[in-house]
Amino acid sequence: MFSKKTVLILVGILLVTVNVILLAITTRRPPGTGIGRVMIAFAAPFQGLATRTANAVEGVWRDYFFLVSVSQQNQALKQQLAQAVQGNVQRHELELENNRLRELLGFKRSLPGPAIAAQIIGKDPSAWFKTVIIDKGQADGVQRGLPAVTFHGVVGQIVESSSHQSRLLLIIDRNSAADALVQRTRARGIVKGTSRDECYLDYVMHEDDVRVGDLVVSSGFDGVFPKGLLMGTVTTVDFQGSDFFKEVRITPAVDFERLEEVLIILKPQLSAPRVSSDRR
Amino acid sequence: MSYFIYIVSSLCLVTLQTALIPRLGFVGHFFDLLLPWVIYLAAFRPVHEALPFVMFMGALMDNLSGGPFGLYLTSYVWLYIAVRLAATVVRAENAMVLVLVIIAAVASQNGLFFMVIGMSGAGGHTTGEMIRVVSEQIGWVLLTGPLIALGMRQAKRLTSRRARKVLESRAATQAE
Repeated sequence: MFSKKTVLILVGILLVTVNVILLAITTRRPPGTGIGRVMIAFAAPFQGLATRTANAVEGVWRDYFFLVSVSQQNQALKQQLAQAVQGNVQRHELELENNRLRELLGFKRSLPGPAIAAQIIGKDPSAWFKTVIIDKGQADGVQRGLPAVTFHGVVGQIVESSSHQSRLLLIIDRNSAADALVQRTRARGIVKGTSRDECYLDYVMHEDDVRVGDLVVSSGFDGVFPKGLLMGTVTTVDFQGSDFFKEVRITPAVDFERLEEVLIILKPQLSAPRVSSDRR
Repeated sequence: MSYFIYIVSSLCLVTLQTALIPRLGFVGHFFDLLLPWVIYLAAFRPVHEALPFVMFMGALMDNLSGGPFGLYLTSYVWLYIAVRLAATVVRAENAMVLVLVIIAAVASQNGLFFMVIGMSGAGGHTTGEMIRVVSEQIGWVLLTGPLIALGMRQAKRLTSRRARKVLESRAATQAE
């Protein structure tokens, strides 16, 4: 009845009409209803997933670069902090060293002869002997037999000297002996080392008055240590009625575990510098 | 070359022992670090190469110590001889054996020191204190000994490999 061409035209007009009608209807209705919601509900999970993935990728990308810069900043800050801490420690060390050297300098002025400051660079490898190596030797005028002291008191004497280093026998070494006096009563004895952190004051006569807390100073009679240098404090006094001598133990005035610098008296003149009881 | 390595290593050990370890207050009494070195030389190196060096180390330590000269020299040389003899009957490469040998060396070195101190009549240390010091040193051997033993074994393997290569290259040269 109709030609094929006419049918196509009619179908086209119908589709356009339906389309216009549908558009007219949908433009009057509020959005979010009907099939739109279904489609949204269908697509949303995928969109969400895609969005989250994209966000994650973007986040990782962005954060990575951000973190790299933060990490770099963190490293730089850590380095600055470490430098500041190190600087602080060094300043503190210098301050402490400065204080010690001031003490030594002040003490050096009170010594009867010229003295030279030396640093301890090594300790005895054996636990049973108490010697240290110092960084001054014959080139600096240091010779065998010279006494070493600190602001706190007597340290020991040089037993061996090379051109730039010397070995110092501490008064706590078992081989060390020095003539001494109890400051309060002038009782005389020999300070002998034990290779521990204490010494004995040997040959103190039983009638001599020696009490715990008495200061022991060098007598100058041994020809090594100038008279009047603090050696230690009496910690125990033992005496049996029949003994000829008292057994007196003293704690050295110098803390040998923390000893870092000493003064070597180059030409000891055996007169007395001032001794104070609060040096340690 | 060997002597150069030996000297540098011993100087490092001596510096560690006399200048660095004493600064670490918590360490207390550490054992003589040259003892494992002597044991290594005795167990794994030829006499002509090791013995002069062991004597050199003994003299070096004697110069650094306040003890009578020859004390370290004596302890090292006798330790060298004892380990050399022991190595003929015991497999020295065993780490456990090496740790035990170091412990024995530490104990015998201290024993020698006590003997010499006793002979000098200086006295001073109580038995309790001696036991405490030696125990501390042995404690440090137990802590660090296995690592030292492994180091010794590794050094032995490296030197053996090097020696083998030298022999092979010499043989190849002779064959040419």
